[in-house]
Amino acid sequence: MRFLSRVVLALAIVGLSGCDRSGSGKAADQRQVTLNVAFFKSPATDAAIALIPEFEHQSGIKVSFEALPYNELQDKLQTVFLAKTAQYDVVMADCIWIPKFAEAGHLRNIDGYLKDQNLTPTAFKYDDIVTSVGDYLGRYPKNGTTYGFPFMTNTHVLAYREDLFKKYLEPAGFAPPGMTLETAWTWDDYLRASKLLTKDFPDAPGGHMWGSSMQARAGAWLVYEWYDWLYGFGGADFDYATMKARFDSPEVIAAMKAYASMVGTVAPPGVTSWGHEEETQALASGQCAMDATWNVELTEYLVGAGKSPFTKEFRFALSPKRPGGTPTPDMGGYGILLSAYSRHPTEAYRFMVWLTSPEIHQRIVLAGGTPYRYSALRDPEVLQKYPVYKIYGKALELSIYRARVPQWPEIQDVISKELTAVLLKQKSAEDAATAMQTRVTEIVGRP
Amino acid sequence: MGKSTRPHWRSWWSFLPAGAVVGLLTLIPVFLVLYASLTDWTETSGPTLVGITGYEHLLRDSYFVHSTKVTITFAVASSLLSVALGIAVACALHSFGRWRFAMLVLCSMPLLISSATAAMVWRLALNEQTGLIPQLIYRLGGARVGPLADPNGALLSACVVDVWQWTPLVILLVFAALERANAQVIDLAVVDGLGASTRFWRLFVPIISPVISLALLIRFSDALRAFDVAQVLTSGGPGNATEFLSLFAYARLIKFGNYSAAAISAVAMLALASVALLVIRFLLRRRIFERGTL
Repeated sequence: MRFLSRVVLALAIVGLSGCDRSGSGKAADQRQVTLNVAFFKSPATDAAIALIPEFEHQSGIKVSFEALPYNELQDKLQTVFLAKTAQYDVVMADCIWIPKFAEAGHLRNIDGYLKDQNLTPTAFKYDDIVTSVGDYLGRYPKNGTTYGFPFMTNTHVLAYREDLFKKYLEPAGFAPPGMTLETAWTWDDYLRASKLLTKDFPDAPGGHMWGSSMQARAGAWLVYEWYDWLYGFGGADFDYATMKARFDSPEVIAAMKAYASMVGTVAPPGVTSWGHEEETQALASGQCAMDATWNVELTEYLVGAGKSPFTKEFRFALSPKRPGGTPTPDMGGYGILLSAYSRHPTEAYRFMVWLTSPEIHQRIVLAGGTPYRYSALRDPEVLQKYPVYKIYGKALELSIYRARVPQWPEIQDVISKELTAVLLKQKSAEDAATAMQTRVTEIVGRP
Repeated sequence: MGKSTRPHWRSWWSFLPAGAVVGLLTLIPVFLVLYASLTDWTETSGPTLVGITGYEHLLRDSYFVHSTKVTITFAVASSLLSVALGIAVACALHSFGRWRFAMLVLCSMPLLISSATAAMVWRLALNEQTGLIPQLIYRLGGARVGPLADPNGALLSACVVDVWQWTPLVILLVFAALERANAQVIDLAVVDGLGASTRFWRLFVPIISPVISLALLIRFSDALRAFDVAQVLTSGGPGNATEFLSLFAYARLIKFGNYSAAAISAVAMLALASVALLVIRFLLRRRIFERGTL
């Protein structure tokens, strides 16, 4: 009997709690919206998290923020999107994921919201976003749809040290790496300067300095560092009119050979295991003298107080070009996108507009984020703190997009594997180019 | 007739809960993976049955063949090394007297760390610029090169990390077998003046041979599906030098959104594991169990 009464009591409690959920609880849900957002852990994200209480206070919308390492973010988004669940309202996505997510229908079209002045106030100034960046990190060209806004950018710049330039390169007849299209170094200049700076040097760790740092670890690190060389040598991955692969061109082969020639000669032999962090450490410690890089952590690391004994000596210039050409850096970055499965799309969009608004963007850049608005790139406070952004805006405008196809992650994997085989002298550049051409043609030809 | 069937049906009913759990947790996912492997399912297109086309394509893929070879090399090297080392350490510990349990706890420490954390610690230790091991080699007059930048060095490093972490499991298994054995027999062997080598082959090996087969089975199947060690330590590189089948499948599932290719890779891993485990059991039954008599 006692047992029976307990069962009845338990059932009653469950029943009452069910009533509560469908009654006053629902009303409470309507009053308080909580957005769930998943971002890549980065200085820009850390800065955004610090500003969230301001948004919550202004809007009355709560934001539950997850800042995840790259692989974890990728795992979570893929799993959540595959299950088509509303776990996240806003996601931060690497540029190479955007075509895949858009094609699979995981993202919500925000073109209607953009035209709605109630949701997109004039002060948002969409035109203030660097046009190419807004297009690359927020839109999908195949269907011409806008899905979000940029949040973090990266492109190539050349980092060098003025003390070393004056001591070793100027006497050898080098002009400083250029800030304009005309005065930018050529790749040949970069290689020759790297050779001159590879020498026994007492200030360098171990008494030996290498001319160039690199990030040649398999994956995005290697591929996008090399892409600056690929474009810089006049090569291209695709004929964009027909989307036919062009990896077997002489320019691509020359770019591979030149890039591979640096490993072990003007750059340390271990660079095939280096990513952003190792590349930056080598530059900051004086182990390496220069770097043609897309490393977003680089600027913060080199200018950050106490992070390098050579902080005052670092200078930035446009990345090298081919003779008679212009620098053609590669564009990367992350966008923030509205999930197609969000239950609060309007509130999520309001959050995205707030986070990428000119004022908040400027504050995020000052706290270590990378700029994508013209206003931030011209902001005196930003330029004083990060002189590299004097050249960064120009580099962004010169940047070339990667192929915006859903199969891009697989294409990147092929380039990474074949290029590494060249760096490790397991394959000739010609054989690697043929393999890239065959595989990429097969990948883009799939239905 | 009726009497003989009743127990039969009862035994079936008693099997049901266990069968349901196995079915839900193992068989259904296996059948789903098998089904996905026979389709052309990607993130942007739904599944359509295409038969064994995907298998034919993958078997011709040099990246897949390479991953299979690397996985087998890693699994064989890592499992054999950890079992050999585990036996040696356990036998040594067994003769340590009353301090042997304290030593056993110390030796088991790596087991308490997650494999991703262990790989991260080793990655820092092997870092060319700041790592303890390359710095030590450099100071002793060696080259300033991190092992992770070289294909063979990276594979060897992955093996070392895996052996470092999982040898304690073998030590525990072998140590437990030795502790369970008749202590008097071992003491008599010492009193009779049997040499260390004779004692090991004639006494210890028969005692621990059933555990060796178990340890090999566990270690080999673990090493075949190793993921964290390569993902964290080398990201599968340099190039695809340490891209084990688990990483190969992961890339197709998570990075490329190619679900059928991921399913085929998973089926290949399953087939490889099944064949390897059958071979291990066959070899051990023929060679060790027949010798192992006390």
